[in-house]
Amino acid sequence: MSARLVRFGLLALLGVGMPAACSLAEDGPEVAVAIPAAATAATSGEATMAKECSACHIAYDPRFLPSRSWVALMARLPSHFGEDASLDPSSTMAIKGYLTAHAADSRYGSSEMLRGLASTDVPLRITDAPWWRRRHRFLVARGEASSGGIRAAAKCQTCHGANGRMTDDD
Amino acid sequence: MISCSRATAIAVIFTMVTAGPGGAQSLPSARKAILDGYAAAAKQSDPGFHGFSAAAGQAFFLAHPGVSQPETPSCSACHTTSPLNAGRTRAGKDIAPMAVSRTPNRFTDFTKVERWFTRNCRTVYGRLCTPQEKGNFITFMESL
Repeated sequence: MSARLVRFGLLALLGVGMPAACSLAEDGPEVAVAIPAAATAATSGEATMAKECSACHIAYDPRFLPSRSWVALMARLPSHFGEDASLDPSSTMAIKGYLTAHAADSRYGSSEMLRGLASTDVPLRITDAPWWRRRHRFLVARGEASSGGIRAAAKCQTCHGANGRMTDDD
Repeated sequence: MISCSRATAIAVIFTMVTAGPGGAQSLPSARKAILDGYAAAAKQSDPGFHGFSAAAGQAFFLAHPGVSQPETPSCSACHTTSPLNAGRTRAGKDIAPMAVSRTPNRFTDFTKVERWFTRNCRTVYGRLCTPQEKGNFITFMESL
């Protein structure tokens, strides 16, 4: 949890109700105390992932890769596909926790996402995952999943909408 | 029980303490505090330090140091050659313009500033940037 969220939490605990009650009781300087409604939600790994990962790319669906892949990716953020994406330890842990708990081999995954994946396979690119290559044969055939992949295939949003996630229609 | 006015005063102080940089401070003063910090650090490593240079910052921004991956040869590869423009990441996300005149909250959150200097200096220059380089960079972004 970030220091800022801790501060918000403390502020919310100490500040709730007091200024409003006082302004009824006496004249004096009004104090606006901001209480973020979503403070607890923002502490979740999902919110941290959405914020940090999507600074550079869409926040990919955790089901796209098995948990071992997410562990490997989060362990080498300073060397992330040619860029340094290093992150503070607490954010890294929160994001890794969310990704692994919702990965292809979690209870949120499916056999389709795991089919063709040996237990020793640790794909680091979503475009290397067997399910992705099956479903995107036309892109693979055009070579858009390999060279220049980051410019084409990794931009799920080009075809799949703003968050690039799967929909029932896909 | 404490009085309401006293409770209000405590809330004011607490808000000031908890708001942190960018909350209680104006954006320009938050940016100045960050620049002052880099100036102090630059002076420590170089007693002859005599301030930051927007021109040096521009040269740094446009340079191709030649140590990085082909996709990230320079700052301008993603941010375009003019910081007044929006940029684009390699994975297709928009980046708000770096120029302070276009994105007023640029360089006002020290943690964020350090995080991105660390990442992008390593990516483009293959090393960390010096306080002098960081100060020049921000001074350039303020000058546009």
